Amino acid sequence: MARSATFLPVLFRFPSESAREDGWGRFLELAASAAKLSTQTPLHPRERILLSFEVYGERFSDLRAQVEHCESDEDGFCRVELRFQDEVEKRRLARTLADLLARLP
Amino acid sequence: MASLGLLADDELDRQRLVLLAGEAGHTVMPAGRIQEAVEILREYRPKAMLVVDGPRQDAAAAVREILRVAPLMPVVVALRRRDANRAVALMRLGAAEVVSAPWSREALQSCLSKTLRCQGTAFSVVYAPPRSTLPYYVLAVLVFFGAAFGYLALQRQERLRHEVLERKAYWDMPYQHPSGLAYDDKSRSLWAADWFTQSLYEHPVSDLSIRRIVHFPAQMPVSVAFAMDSVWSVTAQGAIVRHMRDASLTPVETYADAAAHTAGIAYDGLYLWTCEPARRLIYKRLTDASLTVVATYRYPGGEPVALVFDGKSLWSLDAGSRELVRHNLERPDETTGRIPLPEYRDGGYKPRGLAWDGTRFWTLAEKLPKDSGPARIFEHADLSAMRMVH
Repeated sequence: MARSATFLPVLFRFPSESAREDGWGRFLELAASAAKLSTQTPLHPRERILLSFEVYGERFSDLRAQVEHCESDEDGFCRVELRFQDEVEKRRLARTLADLLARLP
Repeated sequence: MASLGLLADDELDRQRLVLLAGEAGHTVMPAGRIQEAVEILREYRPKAMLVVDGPRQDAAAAVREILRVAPLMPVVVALRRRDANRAVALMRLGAAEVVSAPWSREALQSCLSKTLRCQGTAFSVVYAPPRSTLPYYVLAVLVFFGAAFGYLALQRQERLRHEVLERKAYWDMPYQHPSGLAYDDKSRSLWAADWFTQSLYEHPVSDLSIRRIVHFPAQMPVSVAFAMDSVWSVTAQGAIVRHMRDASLTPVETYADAAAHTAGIAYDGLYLWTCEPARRLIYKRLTDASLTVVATYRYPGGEPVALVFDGKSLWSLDAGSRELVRHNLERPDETTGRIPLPEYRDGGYKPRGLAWDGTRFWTLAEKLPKDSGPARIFEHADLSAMRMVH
């Protein structure tokens, strides 16, 4: 597992029926099928969100994800575990991450 | 607590953020313009910069300029109104964190402490979920209960074994000078020899009553053993007698070469074994015309008073140590195990005879001191329940 110098920012939206404002956060960990997110926006287990972010020049918009676990960290942020739902986007993310990791020294 | 630089063009915002950050325990150095902020960066080297995004001051430009001057400086941007797209855009530019309006001490403190502990996103293709501690707890609980139940089961097993060993199963007999015991598997009965009455007493193992008494006017039987088609006995005079297996155990032949103090006799299907307590010897004999002694072995104990063959091993009864001794059939001077007999622990009886009924041992005992009471037959625990000492 490689680590970037800064946290990768991510914008997330909620399905329209939730009537919630958009939120933002940072990926603590990012893998092809799942991620860990740190945000000040409260999230709940089994909640569905749409993620938008950019990795190594590859843009992902409204990637469907489901909250698996959520807990508060020592700074008062929510530490959220997510599972991505879109199989096509997961494969594209896997390719992007594999490409990124292959270029690391 | 950390020293922070603050860039806010509005005086009211500056005062408010200085107050909030001060309440959170930080020292704040405020600036109204970007040039002042750069001066603060160079002069005071704060741990982080706090920048307010407003209509008259573009936070994006401020973040770029701060990172140009101090590339590793964490920058927190405070938005005047909540805008997720703007927040993410600022973070992409390099802002470490973005706090949105309405500003509060808790939100600001969370952002600042998070920013000061920045580590970076971890990338991997395969997701490695965090290891759950639940299985370890479950395993620990199972191990604990398993150990507890195991301990209790062992305690119960030990208690039951002691109960079996301590169970007194004995019968007093109407004779006082017992000298030998044997088991007849055809009639499922025990045969006890009494030298004083010169008789053999047959006792069915079901109730140990007397079924038959065979009297020998010319002999003084001290030990007896049952073979396939004959009965062997040893007399006090030192003779070995072969009997027919009829109702009166008719003597067929007498062999006079046994030692005078031979006390035990056993037949293993091929050889006849006798023991002599006085000299502590075991004899191995052929069942030929003269009962030829083919080997003599030193007894590995104190006082052998009886021998028995259980189908696999030769056993002796050691009256000195009050133990059953299992012998190596090839080399009877070697023991392969000893079983203490708790029935004789109090010293009230001396063992005299030994028999094996296929599952358990029986011993015949003489009351001590001599002539003070009736003989007693003990039924011992199953061999599997007895504690073998090697």
